[in-house]
Amino acid sequence: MKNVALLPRLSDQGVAMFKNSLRNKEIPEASFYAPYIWYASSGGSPSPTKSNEIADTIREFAMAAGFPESRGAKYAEFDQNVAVYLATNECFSSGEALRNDVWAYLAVVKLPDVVKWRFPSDASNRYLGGVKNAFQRLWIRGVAVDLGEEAPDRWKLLRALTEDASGQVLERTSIASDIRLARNIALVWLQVADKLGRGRMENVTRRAVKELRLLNEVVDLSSLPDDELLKRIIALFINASN
Amino acid sequence: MSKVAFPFLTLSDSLVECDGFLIGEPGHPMNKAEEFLQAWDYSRKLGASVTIGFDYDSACKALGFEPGDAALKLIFKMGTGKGAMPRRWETLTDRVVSASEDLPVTLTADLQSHTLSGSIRLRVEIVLASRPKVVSELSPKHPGSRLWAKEHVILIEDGGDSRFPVELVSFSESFNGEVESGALWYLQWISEDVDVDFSGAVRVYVNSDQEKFSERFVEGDDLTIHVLMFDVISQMIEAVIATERFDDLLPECEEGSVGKQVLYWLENAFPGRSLTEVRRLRTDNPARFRAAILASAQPGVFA
Repeated sequence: MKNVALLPRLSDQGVAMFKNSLRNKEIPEASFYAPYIWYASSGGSPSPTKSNEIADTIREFAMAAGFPESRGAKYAEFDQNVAVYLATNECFSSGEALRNDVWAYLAVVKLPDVVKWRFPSDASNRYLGGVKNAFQRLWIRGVAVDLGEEAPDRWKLLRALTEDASGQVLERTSIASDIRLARNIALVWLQVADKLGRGRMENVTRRAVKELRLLNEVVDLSSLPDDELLKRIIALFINASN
Repeated sequence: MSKVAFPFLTLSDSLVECDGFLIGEPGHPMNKAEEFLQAWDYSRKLGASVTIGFDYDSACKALGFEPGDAALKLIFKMGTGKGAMPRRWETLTDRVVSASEDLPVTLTADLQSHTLSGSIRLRVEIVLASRPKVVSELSPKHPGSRLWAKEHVILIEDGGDSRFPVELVSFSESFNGEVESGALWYLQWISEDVDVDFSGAVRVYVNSDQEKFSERFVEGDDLTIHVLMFDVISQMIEAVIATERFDDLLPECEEGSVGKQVLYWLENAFPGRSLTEVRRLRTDNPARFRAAILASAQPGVFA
């Protein structure tokens, strides 16, 4: 039986306190949140040390990318490094990774300064759990585009996808919830982008993804074998580019 | 089936027999899936099944196909994650049917509890497996076309947050050479704060090296849990009433905190008595004090 690392979670009350502090432009110290931190009661081992290690590693990636300075910050490099790190971290291979409160803890309690550096606008959805969370979105991205240990260039999709394409494809739960579908869309996106040029891809991706979501309502794309699935996605992108 | 306006013929609910989903421990009789699954955590072994039956020829006719011309795929899926839309979908198993003799079909699968979160959405659907030779204008034509589906959402405990924080560990490994190594259980708790979250501050470790005891505990033996809870409750009540510094703080403690839980236990064991009275009872008549807690420490006493 797998021993799940139970990660610290920030309760709804803790999130509410954070929202208040964000409105007042004050970021409290981590100790302020102590009453609002909790763990699953059973089913694994509480792992605050592992959570600290994860936060420390993300901070190191941020510093290597220029944190705390925003001028000249290498955000794309930071995003890629963190996405690979989170997607391959054993702690996130359990249901803990699907919990918003786990990601809210990381962003609000451990790394609010890094979130502020990466997303200076103070948008609360970058801190709170969800597909827009500063780190959760990178975990989703890393898992979805991971071509596997055996692949000659495992992370080529991660490097290739633009921020817009990642948002269009991977920050939509209806697509990202099916990893095989998301990965195949990313593969097709790369092929089409190589032909059309990345400059045209924003509109093409938007149209193709819209059609794909409609198609998925009436055709279960996840039931198709890989070759058939790729054909359907390619057809949608070609159609969207005309 | 859904609110989607399908551009092709589908199967109506009256054509498909499906009594719903079963869930339980693999290898044991399963129960009908309800809205809530009790006593779930990441370590629980789970399986699910669903049985579907329909008259194959009638289904072909309803879809505008020649009887015997269509292959239909039955797919059993599971989604998980909180919210209206699951964060993760997984196909558990599928089966292609192309004759009445293939039906009814029971689809069974193990669920990986450690990957679950918040809810389990079980879904069974019938899709077109391949394009038939003869189709009507309104027939579904593309493989994967959704023809019928049934879903059931089961809320699972929020990562076990309404369960007592407990963990089965080997004390010879975790407390090697320490005084705790031979104990049956060990309550880990630092009694400095009462306004902290209970599940984050308190944890009972049960010694897996003590096989008989730990087996009884895992099986949920009432007497075993009663004795263990008596000790836990006693330790925590005694620590809290040992000092008067918590007296003003306790009533202010929020739901889910250590203080709120201890207050609940105090009220359960000593109904209507003030903290001062309980404190006096402990000093004047410790046997009665302990008996009151022992009597109240029934399984399920965790608020």
